[in-house]
Amino acid sequence: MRLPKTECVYPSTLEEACSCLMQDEGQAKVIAGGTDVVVALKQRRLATRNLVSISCLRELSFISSTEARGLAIGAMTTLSEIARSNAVRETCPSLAVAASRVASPQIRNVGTIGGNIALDSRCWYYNQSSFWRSTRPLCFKTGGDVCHVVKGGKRCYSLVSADTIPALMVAGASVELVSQAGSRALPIEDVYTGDGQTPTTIRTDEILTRVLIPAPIGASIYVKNAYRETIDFPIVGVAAVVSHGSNGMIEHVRLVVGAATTAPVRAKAAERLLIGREASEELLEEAGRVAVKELGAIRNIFASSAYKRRVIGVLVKTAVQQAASISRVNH
Amino acid sequence: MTEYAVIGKGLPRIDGMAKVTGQAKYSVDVKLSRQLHGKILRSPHAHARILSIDTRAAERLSGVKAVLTGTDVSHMRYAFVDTPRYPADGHPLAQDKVRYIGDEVAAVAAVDEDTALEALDLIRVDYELLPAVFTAEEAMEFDAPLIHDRDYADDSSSAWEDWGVSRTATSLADYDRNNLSGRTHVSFGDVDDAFKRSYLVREDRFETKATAHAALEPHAAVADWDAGGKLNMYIGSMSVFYKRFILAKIFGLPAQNVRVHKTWVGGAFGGKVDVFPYEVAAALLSQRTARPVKIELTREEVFTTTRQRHPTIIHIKTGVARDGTILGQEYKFIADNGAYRGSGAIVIFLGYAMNIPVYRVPNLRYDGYSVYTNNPIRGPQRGHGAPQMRFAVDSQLHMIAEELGRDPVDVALKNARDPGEVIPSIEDVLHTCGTKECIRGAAKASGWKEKRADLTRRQGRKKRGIGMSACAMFSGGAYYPFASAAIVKLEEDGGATLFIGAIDFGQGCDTTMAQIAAEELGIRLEDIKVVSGDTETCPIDVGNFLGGGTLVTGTAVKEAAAAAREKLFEVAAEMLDVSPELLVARDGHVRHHLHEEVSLPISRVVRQSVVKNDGNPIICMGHRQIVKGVDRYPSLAKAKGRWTDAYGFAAHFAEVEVDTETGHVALLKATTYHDCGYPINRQIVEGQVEGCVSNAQGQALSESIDLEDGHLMNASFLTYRLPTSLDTPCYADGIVETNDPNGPFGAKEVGEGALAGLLAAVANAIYDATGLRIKELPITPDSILRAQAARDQENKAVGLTEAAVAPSIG
Amino acid sequence: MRRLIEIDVNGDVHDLAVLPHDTLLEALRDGLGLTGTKKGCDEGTCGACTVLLDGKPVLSCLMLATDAVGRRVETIEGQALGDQTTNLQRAFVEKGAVQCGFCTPGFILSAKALLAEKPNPTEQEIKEAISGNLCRCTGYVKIVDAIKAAADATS
Repeated sequence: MRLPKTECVYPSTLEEACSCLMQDEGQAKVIAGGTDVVVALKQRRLATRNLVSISCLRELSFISSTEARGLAIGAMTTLSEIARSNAVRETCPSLAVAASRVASPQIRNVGTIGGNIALDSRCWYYNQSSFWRSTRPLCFKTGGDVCHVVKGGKRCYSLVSADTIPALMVAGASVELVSQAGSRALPIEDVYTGDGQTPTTIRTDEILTRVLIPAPIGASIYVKNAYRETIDFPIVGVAAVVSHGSNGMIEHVRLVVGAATTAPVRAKAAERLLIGREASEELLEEAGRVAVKELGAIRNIFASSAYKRRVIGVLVKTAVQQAASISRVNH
Repeated sequence: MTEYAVIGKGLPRIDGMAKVTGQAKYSVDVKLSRQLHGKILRSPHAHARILSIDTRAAERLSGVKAVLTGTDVSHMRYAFVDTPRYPADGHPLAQDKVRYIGDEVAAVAAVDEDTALEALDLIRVDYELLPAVFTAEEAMEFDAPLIHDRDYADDSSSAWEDWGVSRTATSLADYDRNNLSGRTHVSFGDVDDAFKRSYLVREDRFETKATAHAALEPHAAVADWDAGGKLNMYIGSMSVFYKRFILAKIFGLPAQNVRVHKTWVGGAFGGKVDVFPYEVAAALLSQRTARPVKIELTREEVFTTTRQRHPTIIHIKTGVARDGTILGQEYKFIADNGAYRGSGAIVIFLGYAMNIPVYRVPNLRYDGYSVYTNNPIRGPQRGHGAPQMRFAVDSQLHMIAEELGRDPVDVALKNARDPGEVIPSIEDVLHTCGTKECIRGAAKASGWKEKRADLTRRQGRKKRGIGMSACAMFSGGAYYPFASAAIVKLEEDGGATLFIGAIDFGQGCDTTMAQIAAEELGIRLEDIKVVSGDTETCPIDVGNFLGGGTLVTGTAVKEAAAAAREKLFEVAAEMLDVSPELLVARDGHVRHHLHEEVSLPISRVVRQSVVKNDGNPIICMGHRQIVKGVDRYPSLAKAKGRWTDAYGFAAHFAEVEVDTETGHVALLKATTYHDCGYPINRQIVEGQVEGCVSNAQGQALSESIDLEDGHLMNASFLTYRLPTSLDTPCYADGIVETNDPNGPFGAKEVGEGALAGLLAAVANAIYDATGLRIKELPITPDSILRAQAARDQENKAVGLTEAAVAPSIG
Repeated sequence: MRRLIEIDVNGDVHDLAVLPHDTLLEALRDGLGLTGTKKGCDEGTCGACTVLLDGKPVLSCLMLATDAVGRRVETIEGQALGDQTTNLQRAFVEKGAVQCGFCTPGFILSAKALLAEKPNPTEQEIKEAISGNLCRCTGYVKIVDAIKAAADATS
């Protein structure tokens, strides 16, 4: 499908890029790797006709250790580079795994971490061509007043689905956003609104420039459920970080469930269950059950909400099991 | 066991180099000078009357060269099935009604794609919505909306009448349900009595979804008229002669004024047989503008507006004796045809015809219904009725075997046909039938007995199981042009050129046909050049969508080459002063069969023929009817009449691993034994079987066309899930050589049939692993977990209901 | 309004007039007549449009033509050197990894990038490297065999 008639500029400095974003009455849009934006344009889901490419901003492509023994990753760093990086594998293994599970090798070679974090929310009634969507009334996300997924729903239930987000959330990551107005840092969980219509708090004049990951506490992992092991978005993706105390019990745990609902969510009740205890088979089963009880799930294109909820339990169990066993070994 | 020089060997494909260098031009790659781009305007409604179409704004747009609507094509009526009983029900652009989402309403040609897209947006169509129906069962009720009024009678003849079928009164009385696009009824023996005598009777219902061919090359057509009034077409096709026939008919042209050019085809699997609206639109737009017009479908259009496999509901009732012998079987096969006839009338015939060659059934009643709905159009797809039916029959037979306490392999062997048997109603004779050897061979190779004895396979989170199924496929069926011919032209340097109308879309026919010619002529494969798939330069061919490529075209090729060889011997006999019966052709020479040194290079003989025989360079022809000596079709409605001259058979043993927590099913190993008579090219046969297995793996476990009120929800490779490299099982292939007397060198069908046998094998393997019997395809992780939940009452705590639940954030 | 860009394709630098919204795939096929790179889906889901960008496999249907400026693009047409085909190309033919051939260029380029990085890949590494390329004809097994054979031939 031909792209709509669109212009794309290639600023060579961050300052220039921020200035370009102010054009077109705030309608201009950042394009990084383009693997999501190009599809959105082909499907006529984006109103913008002015793109600001940040692909020439080489300074945004880096992986470096911070003084605090964490990581700083430039937003233009590709998912392939992140997946292969020894620094990421050591400091934030959940991210390395998540990055390696996004889509396909070709997409990972071009798709960036910034793009993955800022990925538009997804829904099987939204991620369709303009012809397809013209056969139905407009939904909330496209300016209408119905939701096709949740019958009678009063808002948009599209899902934030990117793989790296849960992985970054359990690691306590934050992002840096830059615009002509200045720069700000934001804990990554504050990026997501839970409202499918405007799924992120990133302003249209802002550019995500880098991700900051603090020093790791314990072992982290990401597990993904999809019908296929490549190409597919997750049906559910769960990230876990677990550390053990000197008494051999779980001391610190974070669990984030992604793609199940409109924003990635912490499974807090399951976390509370695990603190101070030993990661036995029974406890993990219970943690899975608790997570399912506390969280909701919106049905996906072929995965019913019942299936997703069942899978949340399985993945929570698996993620904690894997993270705990690595943490125990390290400890 | 005969040792051949060329055939039987896994020689590399002759078109391989063109493809690995990017030189091979497919229909989507064709670009002609001054080419315009065409686009189609499609209906957003599943069922609606067209009140008006206003194309003025589109016509005025700068760069738009022509716009067509239904009135431009009201005289063009055609369909894949077009008989007196089932007249063609489609036009290239909608006439008064649209009947599915995607139905073609208008077509434009413009200087570039951007302009063509803009033009579509400027066309105004006024619709009056009509009530729609989306399931076959609902559509069959007499209060359902009527999708086609049956008034297609006009003074044009149907295609099948053109082909020699006499016009008989269309008997609407057979139509015992509403919205039928086809009806088949077969019965023989006394099935009710058979059930009374049976030791065990089982009745089961199965359901399969629509699936996509998913060939990697999207559908495309380039049309170009020359000044003399000849239409040139560059299209993805499975039969260039069928396309030529229809295009000539609807444009009112003599056959030689339509040329379907050879292009490479990027996969077909049954999806590129029909003449499609975009092809006719391209031709008509080109005629109007006097410029070439290219229409390339988007992937979404390929999924929604070309063809799909018929979704089916199959009821089977089977009665068996105590030892598992089938005494009687009753079937109800309901196919959701979609909005136009497609191949509905054929698939319900094939539900009987492709199934009955596998097991003996002495008493039978079969009722097939193909039903119009406001869904996308269904047509032929690899197996065409056999996959659905074999899934049902062999799933049930496994259940029966279990109830009897018998090994399913033993029950299958008890019922499998033997060579010499005659197919009831159709009367085809199984000159060869290797089903039993396939079953036994595959059972052994797959470790069937050992695996079933291993009780640990059912322990733990990931359970393993093994299951089997068998299937059959015809080797060419009676359809236009009813025969294939071949021409062999010898070259003065001892090589040869082979002309065949066959079209290679990946199945390797250019190579296998060249091998046959090379074997007959005693030369190497590399000495043969193949000219194929062009209606102007090549002779008629049955096309490669009926399993007939090897048997029908192969025989024509063998005959042509043999005739050329005989001519060589005549000339050589004189040169060597030897009787021609004593000569053989081998290693590029004509030799005395005993005294090898008495020989001549073929090149010399050819040159001598020119000198001595008034310039005769030796050009010979061969030909074969699809079904020898049969001049009439089988009746689709009654499944009566000879249909094919040979059947291929296969048995599949599938080993799966089921993750009982996520529901994922991995196909670990697929063991397939195929009776293809004789493998002309071993590597190509393996490749075809492996492709069938991969295709079936998808259709068993992950592929389905998901429709919601006529909307195709997953019209993309992201959401229509083909198997990927990471899903590849271990393959174990075996070839059973039964050497059919009707096939060239004993060869018969391969490349389509083997798909049908994997589906029940997978379903049975899943049952073996988990005890879950699932009777709907595809068996997705969601299906497994639902089946588990239905069985395991303890999962109530999770609350497994379908309703979406409001999420909690935070 | 068309813009003149310079792109390096298979070692040749081309001046090409492109529209800002032309994709790299369209520029290659329509602009340069290099039809070996295929349009299977045009939305990044099948891998048939795979080209190498600075040696890495990418989907050309998801890139703007202008994104290729200053980068090195390799297509299937640039593989053989004159009449010398590569080990990969020969292995694909010899091992029966080609049927309809439409997906073949994409697979060969993904495999080329793999072998450049891992000259002796395991079967699993091969399958992962080609996991973004779909094939409907072969069932993948002969493609994996061909890549292995090419790796063996090179070492």
